[in-house]
Amino acid sequence: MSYIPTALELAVYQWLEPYITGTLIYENQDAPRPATTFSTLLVIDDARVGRPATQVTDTPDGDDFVGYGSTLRNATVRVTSYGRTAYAVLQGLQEQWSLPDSSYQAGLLGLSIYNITQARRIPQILSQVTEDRWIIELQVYAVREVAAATQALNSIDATVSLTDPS
Amino acid sequence: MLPIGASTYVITRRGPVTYTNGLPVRTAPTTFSVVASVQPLNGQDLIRAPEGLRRSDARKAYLYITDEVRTVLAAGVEADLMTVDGVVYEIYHIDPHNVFSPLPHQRAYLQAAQGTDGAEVGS
Repeated sequence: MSYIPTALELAVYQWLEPYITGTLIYENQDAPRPATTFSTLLVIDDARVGRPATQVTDTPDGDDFVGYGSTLRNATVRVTSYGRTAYAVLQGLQEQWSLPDSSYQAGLLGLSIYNITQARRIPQILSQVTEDRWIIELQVYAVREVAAATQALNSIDATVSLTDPS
Repeated sequence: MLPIGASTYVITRRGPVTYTNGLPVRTAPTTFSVVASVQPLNGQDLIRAPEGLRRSDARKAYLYITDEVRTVLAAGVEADLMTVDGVVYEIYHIDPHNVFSPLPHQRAYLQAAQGTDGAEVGS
């Protein structure tokens, strides 16, 4: 089955891709690995911050309302790099992430990268050979907006009942 | 000379996989036929099987050395599949016997192939 990235994953991918040397792919896919050095990304959590902002708008024909919801998300993104130059790849990302241009590019995608962890080494044995792997995590603020058509009242039926108070 | 108990089997070669925008792009598989003698694994074969594959359905196939079947050799490559009695097996190891053997041949070790949903590949 093909992996279907979420809107958040797509945005993070677009931001990360220029700063990653080699191939960047989504983690946990049912497909053979690309040639090393490659890196994977996975959004390991996506938490809402605060209450969602909502707005309801009446459509011109008066039949439906459209509800808009906007929530601030705090996501953790794990980037794992594989191969002999894995550390250098993640070092390159660490050097770039807070520079004005990368912050600007993140803003265009509705993201704000506010923290990046130290790279940690997690080597694994693969076919009797130790493969170098390095991992970092990014903390990301993201805005998620949804718009959902909401059925509204078309008419109100009321029965008038008047009582003479005198 | 045919291997003992040989029959004709279909090999499915999955196309190379490339990545675009972080997602795999597969190319269409091809098929070809080989003559092979398919036999059950013995105890030593099972001991040498990769971790986690020792209790599943497995076979070994004796093939001509000229039949170029393959297991995973490089990035972006998936092992060949071999269909035996309607069951799809994946080749997880190949032993070539082409130098000192009076009858050059190769042994391919087969493991019942399953997708990530647990279903047999191709089902």
